[in-house]
Amino acid sequence: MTSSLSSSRTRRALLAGCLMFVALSVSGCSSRADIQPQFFWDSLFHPSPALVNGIGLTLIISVIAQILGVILGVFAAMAKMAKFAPFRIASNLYIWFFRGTPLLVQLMFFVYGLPTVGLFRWPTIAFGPILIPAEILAGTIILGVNEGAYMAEIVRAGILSVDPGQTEASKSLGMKYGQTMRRIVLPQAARVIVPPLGNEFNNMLKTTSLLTVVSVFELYNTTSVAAGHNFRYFELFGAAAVWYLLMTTIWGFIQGWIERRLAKGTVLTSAGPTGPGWRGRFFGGQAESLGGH
Amino acid sequence: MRVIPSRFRFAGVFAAAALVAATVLIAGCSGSSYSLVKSGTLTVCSDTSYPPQESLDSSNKAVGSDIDLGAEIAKRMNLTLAVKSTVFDSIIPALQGSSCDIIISAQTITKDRLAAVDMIPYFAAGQSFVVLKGNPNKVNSIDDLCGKAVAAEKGTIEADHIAGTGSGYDNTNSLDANCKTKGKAAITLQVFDADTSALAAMQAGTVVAHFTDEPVAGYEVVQGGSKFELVPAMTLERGAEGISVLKTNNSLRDAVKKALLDMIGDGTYTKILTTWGVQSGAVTAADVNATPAP
Repeated sequence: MTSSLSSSRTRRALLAGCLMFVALSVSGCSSRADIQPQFFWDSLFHPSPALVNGIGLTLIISVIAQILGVILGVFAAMAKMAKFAPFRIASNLYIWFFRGTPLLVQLMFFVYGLPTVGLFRWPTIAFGPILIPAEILAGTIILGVNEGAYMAEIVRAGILSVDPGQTEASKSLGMKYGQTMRRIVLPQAARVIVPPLGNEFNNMLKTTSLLTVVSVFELYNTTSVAAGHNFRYFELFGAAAVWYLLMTTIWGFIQGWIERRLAKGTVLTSAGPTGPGWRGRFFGGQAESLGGH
Repeated sequence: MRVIPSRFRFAGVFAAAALVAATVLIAGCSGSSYSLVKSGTLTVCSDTSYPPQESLDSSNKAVGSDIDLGAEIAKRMNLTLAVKSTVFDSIIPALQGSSCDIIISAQTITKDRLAAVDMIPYFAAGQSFVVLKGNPNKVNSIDDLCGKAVAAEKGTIEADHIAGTGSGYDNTNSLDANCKTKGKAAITLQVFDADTSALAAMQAGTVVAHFTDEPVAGYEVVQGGSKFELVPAMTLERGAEGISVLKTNNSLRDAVKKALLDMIGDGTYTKILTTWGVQSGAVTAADVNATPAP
């Protein structure tokens, strides 16, 4: 993917941006701006137990919700392409509703709307010694169900990208539909699914912050409560931003590794025979062309 | 771009600088003795999810006992009132960021807040529990809260009281500590950006009680028809609430204080509170003049 911007113009823009950032930081160090860096460094290097729990919860909820989303997405995609009409209709309704409404509305409706009219109450369940409070259970499930609607379209695109000759060949070999999907089509579809899936997980890591409205103490909510006590919004939310960047950047590297592993045995990948370089993995696809990789 | 001769450029820059300096000087030495966010207007930050003290009516206009007090203060200062609905948890930063001149939002006077702003006592309220009608979870004493979940608004003294956070509570006098010393399970605190969301959580059954200010609790019970009830024996700790002003804005603080004292003196203050049914929270002139103690 070649960038339409001239390389030197983009380089100058980046340089200007860096200089501005440095200038702002320096001016912020003057006594007029009331910044207390200690809160920032403490949040990063000596996080409170509550903050550690918040970060852990963000990661766990993201992973579980994404897995749930992928499973639901695969089934919804296959149902959407099924010959049996009720499957198609059900899948279309599911995708339409959960892609057509904001996640916040879904959370308020399912977590507070349903129980208030007595239709459904979210239980607190116990996995052995671990207790999962109702709001975390509800929030994770709704995140996963919401994600499934988006994954359905991504998985469908992946399945459609596999040469129909593959399905014909498996049928002629006597494979059943389930076997064809599991052993032939989905593994090949995976290469097309992984980049947007990676994008979705990147989004999921940040979207968990919306669970603050149902009082889940993930990273954002924990930061918000702490800042409400000492009013150090600049330092604490700055640190929260760094934590989110850390999580999404590490995921970026993992995603690149997965893409390269799946690309083994093929000549062409999105950014070169060995996959995206460090610039591509760090800053995304456009940056690939900046370094003349 | 045409090249401007250097002598004209210098003159232009000098004129612009002089104009800026003049504007700053004039604004700084203006006739009115205090600086306002918007001249001629008293801009008040308030968390309008807190009826009867402050809320929004069906046309999204701010109404409530605090709003009426604000309007009266503004009138006596010859200003018009403008209310800015602000999330309670970030209301002091809003004041510090010059979104408004003062905060009237049922803020209990605490050491945390006094460290950041000046507060003028103007009201007093206890902390009360709202439960579902019939008290199905049998919340009759603070011990009954042990092992259960309670909802409060983020950044309020009620949230601090349960968890032992903030400057007024710690792990000796919080409700959670009370459970621990009696060997019972901890209280789970759920917090929400708006007080009305905390009430919704109680309606949905994720918590057993909604912990909020006494006048608000009373109002919720009345407005909820037969859905809610107050736990009267459990109203705790009446504390003073204050109007927040920036520490650097002494003249504004004094003007607001004077208006408030005049209102108490001629009975307007009591009349406003009685209109909203919150006269039990009235304070005296002596309270207003006292140095705020958290």
